Amino acid sequence: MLYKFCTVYKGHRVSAIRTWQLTKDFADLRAVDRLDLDLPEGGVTGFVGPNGAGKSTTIRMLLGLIEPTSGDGEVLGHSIEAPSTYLHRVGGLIEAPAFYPALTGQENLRVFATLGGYDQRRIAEMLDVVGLSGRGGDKYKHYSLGMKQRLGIALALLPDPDLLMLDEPTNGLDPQGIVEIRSLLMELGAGGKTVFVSSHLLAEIQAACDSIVMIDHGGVVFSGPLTDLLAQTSPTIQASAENDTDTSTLLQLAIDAGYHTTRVNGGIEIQAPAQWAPDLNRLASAAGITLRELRTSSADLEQAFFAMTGDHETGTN
Amino acid sequence: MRAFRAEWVKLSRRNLWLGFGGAMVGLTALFTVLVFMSVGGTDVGLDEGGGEAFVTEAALSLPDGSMFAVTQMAIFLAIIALALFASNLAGEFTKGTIRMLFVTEPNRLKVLAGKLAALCSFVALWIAVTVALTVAAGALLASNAGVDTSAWWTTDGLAAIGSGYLNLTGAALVAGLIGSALAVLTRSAAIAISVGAAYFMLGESMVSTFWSPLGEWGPAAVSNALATGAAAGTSLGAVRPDIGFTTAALLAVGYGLACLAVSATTLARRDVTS
Repeated sequence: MLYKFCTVYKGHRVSAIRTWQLTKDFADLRAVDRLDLDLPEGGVTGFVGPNGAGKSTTIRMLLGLIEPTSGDGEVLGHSIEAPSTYLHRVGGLIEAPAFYPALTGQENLRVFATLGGYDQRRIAEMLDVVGLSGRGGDKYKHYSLGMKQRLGIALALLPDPDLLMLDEPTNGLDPQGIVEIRSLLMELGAGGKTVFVSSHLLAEIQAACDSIVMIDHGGVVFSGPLTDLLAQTSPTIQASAENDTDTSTLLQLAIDAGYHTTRVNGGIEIQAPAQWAPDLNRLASAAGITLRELRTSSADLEQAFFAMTGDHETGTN
Repeated sequence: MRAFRAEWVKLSRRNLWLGFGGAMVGLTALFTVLVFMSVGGTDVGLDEGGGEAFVTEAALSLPDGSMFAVTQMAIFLAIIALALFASNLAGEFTKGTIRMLFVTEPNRLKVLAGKLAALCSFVALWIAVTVALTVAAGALLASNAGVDTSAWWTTDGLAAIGSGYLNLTGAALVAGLIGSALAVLTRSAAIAISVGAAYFMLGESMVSTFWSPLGEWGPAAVSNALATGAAAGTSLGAVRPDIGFTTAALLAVGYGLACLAVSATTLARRDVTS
């Protein structure tokens, strides 16, 4: 299921990233399987999927680090077969940040700024943006994991990119750092830059992203606005009877009303809109059941993720 | 050019200069002092010529006498260059920085060319320092050893210093390029350095006892021949050069180009998964 979404500007489709049947095999393992993507320019797009779903391999192919086995793609309107035509407009952070331990943070950025021909004055600016201005002179080997991650983001921002591809940018950050980076990404997206960010922190993706691409086993299972995804995911009502012996009756009442219902932790969980909760309360009362608990949950990305990827280990059922 | 300058940002760090420079100065001092202390002595019969004077006042008083000590270091300079190149390139894979280098500069051959040019200039610079130090130290130690250094400062003497420097640098760079190819192939500094150093110090000599052409045409023999200007003097631990200077120079260029081709082809084609 692929929901294509793109912006239209003066009659032309403007996509930051497009792929057609992009595939990568490593020996017998198919890491990315006929991936079709179409991401609009501007805004923040989340890239989620279980471990091994092919997120990092996809980002590496888009950054010209890995050659696709088959299929094609475009980044900022240029073919991924010629990364030099677009990478000067792209900032990337791939998995864990990698720098030279014996150099300071500032020196590390200088190596890459020199290599890329970037404005050296941006080094201090970007260190300030990621909150490392006071620690730029410290050796990278003395940085904490969170500081290393911030330096990786500073490097990605160094070329003043039109497109940012960040693979797990909040890894190792403390809660305040996560909020800061989230705000930064949202600010960049709102400012017209395209941010493509993968993360396993689904709540963060939900808080920061306008759109989402969800992949599993190398293929896209959803691609589109986050609101569309959440709209597809049913909200739930959790209820439990004061007397445990009434749980079966309560379950039957919800099923008779036409809702998918399951037993959960001594109570029941009903896939139904929040508006039906008062009706349930009335039905239970009419049946002589006193409810100990009645609460509603709106759909969230985590729920959608498990529903889409079919991973029920930590799901609601 | 940008890749060259970026590499020099790394090579300019103080600790590298202190460590690398300290090792080079220490090695130079050791060899120079040993050479001038052994004037008039005899070698320990490692080869068939045992019993003859290893270093004589007359030999050191020749125009090229100033380069005698540093020429004895050739094998060590080569191994240092091999280790430097190998650790630098393999380190990019083990640290994972290779992916950020290629995202920043997608033309991988430019990155490789810039890195190798920077490393070559670094090695050439330090060999120049080594040559300067050994000549200066030799001049200071000469009077005590009864060596007349007046011929060192003649036109022939200065030319010998210049050609000796070029020969040593060329020999070290061949080893360095071999180290870089090993590093790109293995992506491990430890493996690349140990394989390369073992081959240069022992491997080629051992194999050449079974297959003698390797002792003449192999990379270590060629590097040694080039470093000594294909003269009779040999570096410690290396085989005696059996080929002429022109042959050695041509072979050195050939080995260097072959290593460059291996490094460039491997780096350009391989997926970056580290």
